[in-house]
Amino acid sequence: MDTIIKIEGLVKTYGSWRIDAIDLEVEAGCITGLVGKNGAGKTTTIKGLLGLINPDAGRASILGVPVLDVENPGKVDSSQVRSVKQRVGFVPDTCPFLGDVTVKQVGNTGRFAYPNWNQRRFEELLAGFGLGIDKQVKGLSRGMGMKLSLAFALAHDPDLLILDEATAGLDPEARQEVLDMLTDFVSTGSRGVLLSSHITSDLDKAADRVVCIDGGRIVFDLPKEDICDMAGVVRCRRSELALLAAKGVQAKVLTREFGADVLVKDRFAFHRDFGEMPVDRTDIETYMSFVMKGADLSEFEGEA
Amino acid sequence: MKAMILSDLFNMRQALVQMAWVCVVISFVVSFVSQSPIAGTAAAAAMASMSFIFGVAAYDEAGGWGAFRMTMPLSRNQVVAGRYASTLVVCMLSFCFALVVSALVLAVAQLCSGMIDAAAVMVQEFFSTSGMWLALVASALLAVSVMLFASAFATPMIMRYGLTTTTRIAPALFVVVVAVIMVVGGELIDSGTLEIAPLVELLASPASVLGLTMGVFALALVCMGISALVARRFYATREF
Repeated sequence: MDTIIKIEGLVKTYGSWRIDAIDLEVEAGCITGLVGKNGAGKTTTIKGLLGLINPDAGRASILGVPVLDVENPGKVDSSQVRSVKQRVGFVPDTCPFLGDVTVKQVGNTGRFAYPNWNQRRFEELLAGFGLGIDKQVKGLSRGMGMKLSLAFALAHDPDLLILDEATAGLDPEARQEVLDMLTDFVSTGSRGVLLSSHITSDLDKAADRVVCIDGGRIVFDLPKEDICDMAGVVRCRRSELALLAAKGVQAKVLTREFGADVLVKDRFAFHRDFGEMPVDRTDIETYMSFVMKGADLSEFEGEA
Repeated sequence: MKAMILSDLFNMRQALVQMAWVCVVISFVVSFVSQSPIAGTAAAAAMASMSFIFGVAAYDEAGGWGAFRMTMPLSRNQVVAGRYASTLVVCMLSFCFALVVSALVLAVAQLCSGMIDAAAVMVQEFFSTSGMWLALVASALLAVSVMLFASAFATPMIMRYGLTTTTRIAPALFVVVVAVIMVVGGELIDSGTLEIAPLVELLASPASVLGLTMGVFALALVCMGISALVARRFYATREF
């Protein structure tokens, strides 16, 4: 499978906060979700990839073209970077177009900026989204503005879509519409999507891979099925934690007042070994909670 | 670069159309009040240019447009070069527009010279003095040159820090620069190194004024070129 985005060792410091040694890959035919709470470093990572900031260290490539190499800047050819940007569509969290321009004039901007601009495709997308070409951008709702951004990103037939919190603030129906479009976009097998979001339910539905970033570091990078199908949450008594720890189960624990929840990586294997304990499927949000806030099960070994 | 120029012009289209109407009104008012189209022409040329220079910079920061533009297939050098090119294009359009408006002012003044004293005075003085058309062109060119100097001064800072920060830095910096020029100029005049009498003689006729103004315009273009090189270096490290 082709790698569409490859980020290695990305570092960027802002005062006392930094993103540290971020490694990230987006494969063709996949939607990779980048999830994390506000201020975790998702947007900074994307900005580093797109050349909007000057990272302190790291390398990145898009569609095989080096776009960043802090240690060896000579390896980055600016004309190649410009060429590869023709194949990238970016959808930010807010509509970036000026309020006074019309939807039609936004299309004109795309026509002049992208040699591969497809005006017909742009108009088809606008029609599908119900966006009038004579409407001014400032007259669009948040959802309509996001759809305009998405139409703009898709109209030059990109191979990569990057969405930075693009679905935040949309109603559930609009979000589902966007997710369906993204799924359709990658169905060719040669395109990829990097979807940054703190709305984990969107990633539950659409992502193929989930990368979680917290405090500027990657905390996990897994296929979605490892999280939503394989992993599970065991509901047990606190007194049973020592037993599980003694049996060598590797897991994360969140304790409750009268019990504990244990995240196991393979719920099927766990059920085989501990059939008497109920184990439920988990979702991305729950998995994140365990990984970021949970304690190691080994800490409960020997506990009475 | 073409994409950047067209993008700037498209973004500012509505604002420029509105400003054009304002310039027409201002030109008429100033011309009739001063009983001469010279000042009104300069005002029209300056206003339209200034509106573009700072308006397009403000638009860069509206809604993240400047940052989003960097995700498109445009290099930072193309953004800078395109900005300077679009500034020059609009300034020259402002120059032409100001002259057209001044012709309109004179035409209206001629029509109502029998009813309005100011119009009569304006028409009589303008058409009885030779070379006044040259003075009109010179006033528009000088106004545009001043705006180009302002753009050359401010645009590198805008490219590096954005318009908001520049509006804090630029006025103080401008005062310092003007003070230095005045002090140094005064020293040069006092010491006899610089003589202003020949300069005053140059202002004796409209033709020589136009010649001097064209020299000022050429100097403004040189400053724009130097400014573009500085802006290019500044913008290379700008973060969004």
